[in-house]
Amino acid sequence: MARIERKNYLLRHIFIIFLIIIILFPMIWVVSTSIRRDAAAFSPRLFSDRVTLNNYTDLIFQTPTVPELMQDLNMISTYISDFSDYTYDEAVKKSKEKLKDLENYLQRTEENMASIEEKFNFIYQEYENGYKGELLEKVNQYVQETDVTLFEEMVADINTEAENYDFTFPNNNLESVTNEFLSYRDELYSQYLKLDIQDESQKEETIKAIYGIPVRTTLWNIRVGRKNSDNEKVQEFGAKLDELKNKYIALENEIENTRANIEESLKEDFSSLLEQDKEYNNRLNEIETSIKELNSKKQDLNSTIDNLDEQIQAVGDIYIPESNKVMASYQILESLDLSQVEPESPMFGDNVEFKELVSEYASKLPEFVTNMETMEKYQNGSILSVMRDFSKVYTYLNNNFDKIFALREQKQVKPSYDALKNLTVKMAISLDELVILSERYNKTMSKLNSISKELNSLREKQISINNEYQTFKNKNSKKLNFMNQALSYPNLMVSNYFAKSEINNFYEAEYYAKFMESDFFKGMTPERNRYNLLKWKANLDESYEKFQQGKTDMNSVISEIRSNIQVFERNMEDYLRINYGGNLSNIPALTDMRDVYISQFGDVNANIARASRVIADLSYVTDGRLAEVMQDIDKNLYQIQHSWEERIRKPFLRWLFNSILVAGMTAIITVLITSLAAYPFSRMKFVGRSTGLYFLMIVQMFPIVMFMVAIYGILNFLGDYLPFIGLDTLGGLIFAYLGNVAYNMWLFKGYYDTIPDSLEESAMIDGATRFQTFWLIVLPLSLPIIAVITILTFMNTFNEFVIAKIVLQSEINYTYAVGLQTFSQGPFETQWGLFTAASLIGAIPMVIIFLTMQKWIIGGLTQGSVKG
Amino acid sequence: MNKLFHLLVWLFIATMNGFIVWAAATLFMLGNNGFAIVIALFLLLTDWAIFTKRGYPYRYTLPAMFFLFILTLYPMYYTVSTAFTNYGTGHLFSREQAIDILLTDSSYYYEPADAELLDFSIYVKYNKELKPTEDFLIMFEDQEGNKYLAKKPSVREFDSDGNLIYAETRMNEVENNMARVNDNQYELIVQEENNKVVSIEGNNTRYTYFYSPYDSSVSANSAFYNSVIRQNYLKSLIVKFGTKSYSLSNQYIYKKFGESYKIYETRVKSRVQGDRTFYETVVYNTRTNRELIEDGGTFYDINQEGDRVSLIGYKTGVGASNFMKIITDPRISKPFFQIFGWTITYAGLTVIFSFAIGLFFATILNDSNLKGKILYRTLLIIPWAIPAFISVLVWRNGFFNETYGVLNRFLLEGLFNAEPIKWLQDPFWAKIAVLIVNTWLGFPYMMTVSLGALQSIPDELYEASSIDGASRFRQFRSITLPLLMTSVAPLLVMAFAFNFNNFTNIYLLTQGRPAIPGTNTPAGATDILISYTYKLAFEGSRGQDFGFAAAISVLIFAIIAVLSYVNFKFSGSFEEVNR
Repeated sequence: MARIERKNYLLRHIFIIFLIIIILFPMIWVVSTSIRRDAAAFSPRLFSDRVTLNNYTDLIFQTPTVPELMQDLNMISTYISDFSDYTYDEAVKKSKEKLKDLENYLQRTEENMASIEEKFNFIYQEYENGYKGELLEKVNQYVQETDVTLFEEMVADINTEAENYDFTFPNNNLESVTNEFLSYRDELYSQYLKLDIQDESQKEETIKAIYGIPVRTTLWNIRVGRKNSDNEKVQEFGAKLDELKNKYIALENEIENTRANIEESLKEDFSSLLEQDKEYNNRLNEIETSIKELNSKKQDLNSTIDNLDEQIQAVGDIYIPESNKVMASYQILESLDLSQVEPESPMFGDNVEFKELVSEYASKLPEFVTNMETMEKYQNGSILSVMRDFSKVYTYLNNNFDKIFALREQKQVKPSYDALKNLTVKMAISLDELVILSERYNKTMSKLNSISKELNSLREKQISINNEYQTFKNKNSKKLNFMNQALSYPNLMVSNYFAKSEINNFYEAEYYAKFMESDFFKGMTPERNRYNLLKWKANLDESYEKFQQGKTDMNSVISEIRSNIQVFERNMEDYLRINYGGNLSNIPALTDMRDVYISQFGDVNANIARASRVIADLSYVTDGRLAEVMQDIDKNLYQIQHSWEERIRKPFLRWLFNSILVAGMTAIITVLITSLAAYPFSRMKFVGRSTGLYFLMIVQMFPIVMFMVAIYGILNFLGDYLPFIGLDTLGGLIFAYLGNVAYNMWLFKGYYDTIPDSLEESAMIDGATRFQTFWLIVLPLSLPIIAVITILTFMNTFNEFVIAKIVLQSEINYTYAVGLQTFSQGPFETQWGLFTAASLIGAIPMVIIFLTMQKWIIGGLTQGSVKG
Repeated sequence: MNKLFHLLVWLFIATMNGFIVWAAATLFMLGNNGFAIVIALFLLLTDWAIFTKRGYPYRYTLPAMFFLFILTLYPMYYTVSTAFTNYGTGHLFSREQAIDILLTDSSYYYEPADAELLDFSIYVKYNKELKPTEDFLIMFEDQEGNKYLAKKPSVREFDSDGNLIYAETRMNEVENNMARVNDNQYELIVQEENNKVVSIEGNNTRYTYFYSPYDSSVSANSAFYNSVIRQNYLKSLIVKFGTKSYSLSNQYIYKKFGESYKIYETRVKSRVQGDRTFYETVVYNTRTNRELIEDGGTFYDINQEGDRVSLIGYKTGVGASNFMKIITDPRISKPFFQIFGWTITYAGLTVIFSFAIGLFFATILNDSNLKGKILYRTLLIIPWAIPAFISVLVWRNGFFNETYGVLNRFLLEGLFNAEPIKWLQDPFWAKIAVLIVNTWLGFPYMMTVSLGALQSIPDELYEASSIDGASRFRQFRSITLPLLMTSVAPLLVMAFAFNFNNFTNIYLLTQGRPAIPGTNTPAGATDILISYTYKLAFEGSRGQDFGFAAAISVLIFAIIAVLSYVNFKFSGSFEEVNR
């Protein structure tokens, strides 16, 4: 029995530890990320062993880097920003300090670069003195272990698959052709070595010609000038290169032939499948093209419609403003009794024109209105209703024109008649357009509709075919997959033979890696760092080269900065005097310095960062002493980068200080007030005691957050009269937190209840007052609870976010909680190092306090005061 | 000695009384009646406690009372009363303040079409270190070449952010290079060659030519001019000369002074109602001579097209409309009820999940034979020990980030080769994220509480039941759970109430996002009521709406009050009071 129990416990331990690791993973991540040197947000590794404490020193000391020093010098010299209150003497002193720091940085950078140079030299020496062979052995072993096993597995897989389908791969000569090519290549390289070519670029070209896949010799011919060269060696070697090329072409042909054979035999077995696949593709393509065509037509029509729309709107703009006047006139005319009137026709002048226009309107407007009624867009618009009115008006006018004309001089009629006449003439310019516009609109619209319909039906068809195609694919996915694999079978075989052959030197290793990374065999896509070992030499060279470039640029930057420093130093005192007192003269030496940095450091940084990353990756595949040296180089490079980078600074220490100040003051004041106020509740009977206790209990349920509008309003109001407790002040924040006094009353009362009355009674018999007994007996006895509540209040206040966020507005006044949020936003969103370091600085003390105070916190909570 | 002490105490009490009476009276004058009443009540209570024997126990509680009155009672009153107003962006001022702004703010001045223009230059007094000071004179020159001189403005008004809103000075004519300003004689010193006034002397001081907008020879001084003189004096300066007044002309990009006049003025209107006459202040537009329209707490003017133009709003009561619009306005009610539902789901699920996980760990750890359980417990408490805002930010920034986050990059893509999840952009996944984090934060509390409760269950019960042949599960269901629930249930309700208002987690993780479409308030899919309130009050894209925010606060009050009442009733906390 006991034995079984023990075994259970072991499992249980493992289980619990596993769960704890998962649960605490965010914290593990925070700790590891805060000491990472690389940009964790962009790194493919979850953890890194390139560690540093720089994130912490950056936050706490904020030592200015080179660009910041230059910026500061600029600001001192013009007495702005932090330096606006400096006197002349202070400015001189400060400038000198900054210059000294700057010079230090320059020197350190130079030292760093020299030491990196040394370390690179050391690595190259080691490499030549023996490491080379060791490495080559490792490379071959690595390729055998990784690539060959991988390819063998793949070959085995495809063969079993083929057996399943009763498919046999046709015979081929791939192996012999490949091996012939490879062995010839080895031989060629050894011959090349005998040529003993000194020219570096030519050497590179030749190696590329030998090992590059596919083999290309054109560039080599040009570089060496083979055509015109009398050099026998060159001619001889060129001929051999041509031979290599031919062998490669033979290999390619063999691959092509095998593939063709495979395809042929696949066709026999899988012909129907292939045809169906092709047909689906054809049909889909057809539909695709017609959809495209229709879409472009539709777009054209749409733009026409938009155009027409605009024009109709424009016409509407002519008519709508006049509609009130027209309708008013019409109502007067309509109310006339015309039955007795003798009609009279206008004979000449504008009245004739008016009559003609009226009849024209009367004929065209109804037509326009009917056209418009079919336009969906205008059916409920104001244009249509106005046009309907107009059409009514002009029909009426046209029918009764002569009679109205006869009455035109009557007092009642004259204003309406004149108004209508003027308006009609004024609006007439747009008359002809009306009908044409509406007709065109309707025609275009109907075309558009038919096209849309067609498009929809095509889309449906496309979807249905696509679905069919998908089901077809799913049904035959295995077969299709096999077919694809079978087609790349020759490439797989050739890759396998390549992997099997021995690698003799680092050029071959490098080009082997390149070959595997190319899309020669699509069945394998190696991840980024798979061939780091093979490219060891190439990567080392790259890193060194990048470093050299960076170094040269950096040296020129440094020398330019130095010369500017000299100029500035010589005239510093005069410069500072010139600008003292509000004048703003730029000092070229300083601005130039910054310009140099801004325009040139980008390149330097890119090179150094690349060098650093390559050498760091390389150190993972290297072992022993060399790996250490590589890591040192990486560290030095990082130091250079770090001291030259421009940073966005946040007053982090100030935030911490603010938090501690606010939390401390709040805790002290709260405890003073609460300890006093809880006393009578524990010791005295008085009116309102139980009401008060009820009240306190209920108030506890309402967190201060719920009063946020009120707190904001109150501080806003008070701030106008008592600025030290206004919005955006720490005083105001402390004041707001004092609303929490109710929350700890119960804890105090509970503790006082445990102190026996007898002590106080005897003191009172001796003549002590009530307050004296409280002050001299109860309070000293309550020290533990006072300490506990002080710490708890401190903690809760430190952790409070919302009220601080509402009250505090300017960055310098933020508390830690509000400030930390800025480290997760904007430019800091991906600077995880700073963010996690800032988080930990706040979290660790709080966790320690919490864990030591566990008993009290849990006790307090179970007593019923849940406060987060 | 004792007497002296008493005297001091009396003196203190008298001063305090005087001060509070004065403060309450002032507050009444300012229209802040609620505050005045609360302070007056406090004074009454204080005096009662000090001057009567029965009030003796209250003397201890006076400081606590003070803060409770101002920071708990008054905020309750404030929140409720604000809920019935339109207080918010556009309605921040009282009516008097709004009128004051209409009358003084320089943007409510107009320049007549044929405004007279003045060039100006600044003459500054330098201190001993040859730094310019804020003591200066302004010299004006009209088109005919007449010169005028003004001292720096003596009247200045600032808003609560310290920005200048109004300044005033007078200018006097210069004759024969002499001018009298405020009983001081000033002399203009003119350079012979180019007729420039290089300095002005008077009042035992020498003012040196410092700045003029069109003079390139002094443009080096523009920094001081713009940041100090213009910002603190000239920006809203009205210069008076006889009946004319001038200000910086925006037509000349503030490089000249132009004639400008107030558009609005107040008049008193009488209104007869029944047999009594009321007087009220109304605002007139002096150019159109029309009274401004007041509607819903906003002043409107009528422009030339006859349209209403809103000028400035003020705070005024709007009845229950803030509450009504939750029901009647579909663009508000739909997101509101969605948020309300999510708040309950969020609080409920958080409690359920964290309780389930907490109980699970508690049952594992509640075994006296298990070694190292104190270490385990301490480790498991850590999520609770870390300040919540830190962990939430860590989760958000490091884990849920769509592109860089650990979850998407290493867990989903790296381990399972799955598509990345849009944690914070997709409403469903955002809710999942919020719940994950909140459960993570909440389970240690539940674990601790359950552990305590489990330990108080006597072992005999288990022994007896196992003799009766009860299985482990049966024991858990019939003994552990019921006994556990009696002591833990009230805490679960409390935890529900706490999470109901758990603003920090929501706000720092998602800020309530993603936004709910089709609404005109800043509502988001993961918003809970309290974060919605916050956004309405402080972050709305359409400005702040304190009135509506307060209305929602009142609803939360009600919900929490009911919850607490039920909880106290059942947990027997009320009896504790009478012990």
